[in-house]
Amino acid sequence: MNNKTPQPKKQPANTHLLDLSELSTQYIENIFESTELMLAQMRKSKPSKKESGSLSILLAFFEPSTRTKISFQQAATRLGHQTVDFNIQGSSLSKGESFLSTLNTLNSMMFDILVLRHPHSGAADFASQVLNCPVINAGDGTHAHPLQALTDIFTIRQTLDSFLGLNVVIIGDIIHSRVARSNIWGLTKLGSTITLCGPLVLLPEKNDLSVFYNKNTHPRSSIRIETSLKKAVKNADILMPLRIQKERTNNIEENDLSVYKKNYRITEKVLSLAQKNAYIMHPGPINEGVELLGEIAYSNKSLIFDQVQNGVALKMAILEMLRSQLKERGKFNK
Amino acid sequence: MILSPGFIDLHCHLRDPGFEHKETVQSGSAAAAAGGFTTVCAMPNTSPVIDNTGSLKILQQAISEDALIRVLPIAAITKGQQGQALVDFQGLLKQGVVAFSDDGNTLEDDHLMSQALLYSKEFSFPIISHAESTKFTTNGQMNAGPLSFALGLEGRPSFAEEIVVARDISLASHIGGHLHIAHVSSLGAVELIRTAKNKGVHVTSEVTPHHVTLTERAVCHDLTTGSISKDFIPNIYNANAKVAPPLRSPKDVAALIDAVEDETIDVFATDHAPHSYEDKNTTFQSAAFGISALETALSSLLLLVSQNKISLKTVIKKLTQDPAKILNVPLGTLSTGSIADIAVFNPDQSWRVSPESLYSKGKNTPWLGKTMLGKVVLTIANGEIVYQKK
Repeated sequence: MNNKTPQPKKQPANTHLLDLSELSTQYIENIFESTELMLAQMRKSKPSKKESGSLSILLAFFEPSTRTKISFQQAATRLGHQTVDFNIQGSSLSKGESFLSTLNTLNSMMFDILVLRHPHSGAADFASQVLNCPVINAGDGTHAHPLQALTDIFTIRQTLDSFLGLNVVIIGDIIHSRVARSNIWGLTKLGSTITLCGPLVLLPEKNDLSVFYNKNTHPRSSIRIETSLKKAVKNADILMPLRIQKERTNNIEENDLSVYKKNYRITEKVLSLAQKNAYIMHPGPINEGVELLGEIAYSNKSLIFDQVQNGVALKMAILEMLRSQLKERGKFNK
Repeated sequence: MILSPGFIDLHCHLRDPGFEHKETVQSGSAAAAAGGFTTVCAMPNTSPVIDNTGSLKILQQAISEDALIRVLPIAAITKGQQGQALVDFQGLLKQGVVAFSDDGNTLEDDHLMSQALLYSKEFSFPIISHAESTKFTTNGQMNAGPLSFALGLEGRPSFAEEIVVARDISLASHIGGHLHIAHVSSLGAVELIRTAKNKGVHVTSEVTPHHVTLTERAVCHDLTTGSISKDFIPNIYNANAKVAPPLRSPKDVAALIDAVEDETIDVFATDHAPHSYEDKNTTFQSAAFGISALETALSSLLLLVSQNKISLKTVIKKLTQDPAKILNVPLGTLSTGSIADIAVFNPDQSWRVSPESLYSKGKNTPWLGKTMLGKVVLTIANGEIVYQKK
């Protein structure tokens, strides 16, 4: 077997789904339109229209996941595709096989799509250079989670009129959040203002945000940093509290948590400072009572369950887009 | 064609003994010869570590059998580079060691560092410091800053280098000895060294060709060094640009170039750190630190000459005469009666950096796939031709 050496990408753009940093607004809009159709079919409890050609999808999750994986399985099932679950616990990796070797092995098995979650930032980029099939990044380290961010942005689009001038406040453990990063890339293409709020130990430095501005940034978009939750949520349209990722940090001690709750937990009172029709979103899993009170998570101010449902429809849309791309290029593995 | 004294590298890793899959004395010295080097100093982080006369003999045996050029051994400051107990400096010096360094590991123990400087003062040898505070670098993958945040990689802040440089300089100013700061990478470290030199502290320093020619953006395959382009999107990872200390910001690079010009930085040293294919072809986080640099050193420095940032004279001086001065050896000169170590190079010849073009076993360079200007055509070491371009 020929082991492939990772190479800078030569494949056509949009073959893989690695992050929102490299997607055009047109591409994002196409995904959203397709997501709407998928969602409509789902809600009518109709079986989705099965297009020709079922895909063989490998779900390789090198890190625990509940909703992303199940939601992918559900999306694939509804479209009549087959998923294969790569179980890390019983794999050769636990026997010392290298990541490259595992990827080359999986490549030889001719899957149509690889869905990858990995604890290392850049793992999806690396896999995309080794594999012949499209790679979907289902979360790589603290780098990117395009599926979640696209779902979040779709949910905002579904709920509010426009992205222009929209104030989105992301609260909490920003430095360890791949969801926050991907949302920043996406929302700054669409004209929204993003406020990152939390204690300084969980925030990037102001200067760190410079690299998010490029030719694709919407002229009306900006990213700011605010340590005061009160100030941050003023005029907010969307509040997005995040879970503190204790598994990735030693910045937060147990006794800091009570201080965190005091300063950053989303309560009725905090919510009252935002826009009248402000909404709460959360990528999950929620640590109820820490970053968010349960009664708010389940209130009519919450879009959390819309996010979950939209997540299935969005994955269906992405699978459908990749399927038609593969068909066009005659690249079906079977 | 330019004829120069053979180059001298104060800092390279030949990986022999113990890591022969990465490099050997044979392959490393062939790479050095192809890069115009006739003398290289080998760092002691081998297996076993060069920390006693026994392991030194193993290395010297390999050198006498396989080296195409002069290889001078550097020994560890502490046993096993563990930072716990000092080595026998005097015994190792007698057997031919030219300097001491725990390179790769920073000697965190302030007291041990002060003792090592006392030995340096007594026996006149350089203590080479890899200055990066380990508390700030344990999980760090690249320079701390906008790029590390966007890529989701933990950062190695430049102050991690500064605080150790400050400590080392403080110790050297009180104790004496010869302190040599390895691979300076940050503006802050440059300023500290400049001030210390002005005060008369015996401190010397080196910079690598990659730290003066590349920024942290090389991690995303962007080898430009100017201000950031609007087209730049940080979405790819190149482990061949993963190195410790990390490639830093354009501001740091500019400060390093200034420091070369005003003699704050004494020499260019490659920190040639070859790695195997497996060591680098994995996720960025799992990949080994280091750049294979002996064969691209001259070409990358000539890039700065072509950009009028430094003179050709400075490049040659800091690859020959100045490192010889730090080692206190009669090399790096073409004066009558000196040893015939000579490099001849064509500064205008272009060549493509490919795995096949490199003699080193380590193909891990961010220049891979790029076309560079400046090629060594002939290297003579101790009167014998050791490299001739085909």
